[in-house]
Amino acid sequence: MNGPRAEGFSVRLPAKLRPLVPAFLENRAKDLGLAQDALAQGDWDTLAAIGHRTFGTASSYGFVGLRDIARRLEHAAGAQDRALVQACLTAWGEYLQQVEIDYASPDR
Amino acid sequence: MTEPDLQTAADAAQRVLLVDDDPDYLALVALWLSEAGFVVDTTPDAEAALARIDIERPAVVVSDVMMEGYDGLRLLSEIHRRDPIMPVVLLTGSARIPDAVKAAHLGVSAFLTKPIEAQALVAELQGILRVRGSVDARSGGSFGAGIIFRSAGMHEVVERARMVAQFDTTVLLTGETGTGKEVLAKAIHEGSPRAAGPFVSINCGAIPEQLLESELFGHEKGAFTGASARHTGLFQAADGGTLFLDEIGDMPLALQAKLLRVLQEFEVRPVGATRSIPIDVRVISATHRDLKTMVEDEGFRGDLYYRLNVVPLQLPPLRDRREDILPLVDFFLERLNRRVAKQVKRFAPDARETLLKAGLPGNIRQLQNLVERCYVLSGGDMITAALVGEALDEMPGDVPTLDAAKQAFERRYLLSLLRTTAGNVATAARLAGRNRTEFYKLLDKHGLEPKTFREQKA
Ligand SMILES: Nc1ncnc2c1ncn2[C@@H]1O[C@H](COP(=O)(O)OP(=O)(O)OP(=O)(O)O)[C@@H](O)[C@H]1O
Repeated sequence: MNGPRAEGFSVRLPAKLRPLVPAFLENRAKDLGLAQDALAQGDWDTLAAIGHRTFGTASSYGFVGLRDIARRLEHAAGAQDRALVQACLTAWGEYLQQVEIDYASPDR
Repeated sequence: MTEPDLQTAADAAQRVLLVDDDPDYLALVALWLSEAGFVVDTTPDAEAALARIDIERPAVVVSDVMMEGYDGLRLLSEIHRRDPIMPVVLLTGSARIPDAVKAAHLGVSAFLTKPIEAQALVAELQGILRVRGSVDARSGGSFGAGIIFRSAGMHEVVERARMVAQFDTTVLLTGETGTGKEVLAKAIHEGSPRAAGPFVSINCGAIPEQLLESELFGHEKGAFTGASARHTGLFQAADGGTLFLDEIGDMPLALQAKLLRVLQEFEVRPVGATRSIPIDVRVISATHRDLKTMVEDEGFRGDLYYRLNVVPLQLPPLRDRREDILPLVDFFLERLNRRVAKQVKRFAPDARETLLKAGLPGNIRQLQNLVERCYVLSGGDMITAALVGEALDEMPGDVPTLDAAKQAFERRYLLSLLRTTAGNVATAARLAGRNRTEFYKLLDKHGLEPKTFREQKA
């Protein structure tokens, strides 16, 4: 059904984003840690906020797979669905490990 | 255009201040906008944004709505309290109708929902700046090209001046000494249909009464003792152009009556002449005095005041428009650099900071002198903060305004507190009878770092 699957591990980004991407991914790993803590405490608001924010930033950068995971996380947190949130966080972790970035040539 | 350090209104027009507490989003949008040719300044929180705006006025502010503590809507209203015409664009993660409505009431220029495309944002900003630009109209040697400013206050004055320039309206410029009244008068002349005619200027306060009369209106040969030749007055000399009457508040009452007659009849009668001569002159006058009060005290004719004050333009003192300090400094320095071609000098970054934070008076002429002094005294290419500090200390003391004096006192007071407490803020705050937060704000205002006092002790 609507189960979280980390899809779109490979992304093609404009070359000019290259310098920004490492910090971006690092911060998403930090977010994942925060989200796990929030889940442990049943802090649904924080989970929803992380999902919401990441949805916005990930789409702007072009990390479509992460964007989708973040959106599901926001919804799952809204529904206080522990299992689904956990699945989203697992998918989030996998995504960060497996994402492959292909930079488009600078002058296109 | 090619001098990178000469900051005029032209490049200020492209400056964007970005506010977002998400560093990744901030970095990304900054990249988009700088690629599109904007000069981008970023800050992660609203309060820092307000501080920045006070120092360097951006052409437009782009802020996130949802931020910890101080949100974008509050930032919007705070910005507009300071500068009602500064365009602000808000970005929101979730399009909540109540927010959008509130933002609209607060005068938001655009309320955009994330994720937003780079092109859409750029187009939005360009649209906003284009509308704004038509108000600015300062590109390429247009009106007031020699007037350097970045502040909202000056922007407004210059804009009004640009509009009245086209007509023959009589303009009264007020403002403290050295705030640029003559510069503006000249700009009005040059931006008017009379630009090809003469611009004649006279300081009514510097000349004795009898001489002033003949200076203004001229005299016939033998009109009074010492009048050995016929003399053409300045009104005639300015025929077809503009006459700038500086320090009009210092004009003696008897002459005021004569001036009024000239302005009503558009003709002058030179001293000792039997016939009047028609003149075609636009009059711009200026004073640092409060003419209205002078009228009440009968030191200035009410009818003349109303005749001169058709369009009043008030120039704010420099201390009320600190964001103009650095552009002016750069402008004066650049002029010196160009004059002394073989030696190009720069202010060190902390020297610029010192200038910015010094309790400078309202007077631009003094700032200009200060820059010249630093230029002459600096040994190398880099003008240091220490040298600026010295030059500031030696700045001639005009009588400061009460506000300026209070500021200066406050600064000295804080300095001595920090010295006695060796930078211990808790103690210093207690002695000053302020809480720590307030005390830090005070230090901030004066650019004082408690740390430096600690190091001195060690
Ligand atoms: N906005 C400005 N941009 C560039 N230069 C300026 C500006 N304002 C003032 N100056 C410079 O500062 C000096 C003082 O300006 P100005 O003579 O116009 O002041 P003022 O108000 O007429 O002074 P006063 O009342 O003493 O006659 C001049 O050298 C002028 O070139």
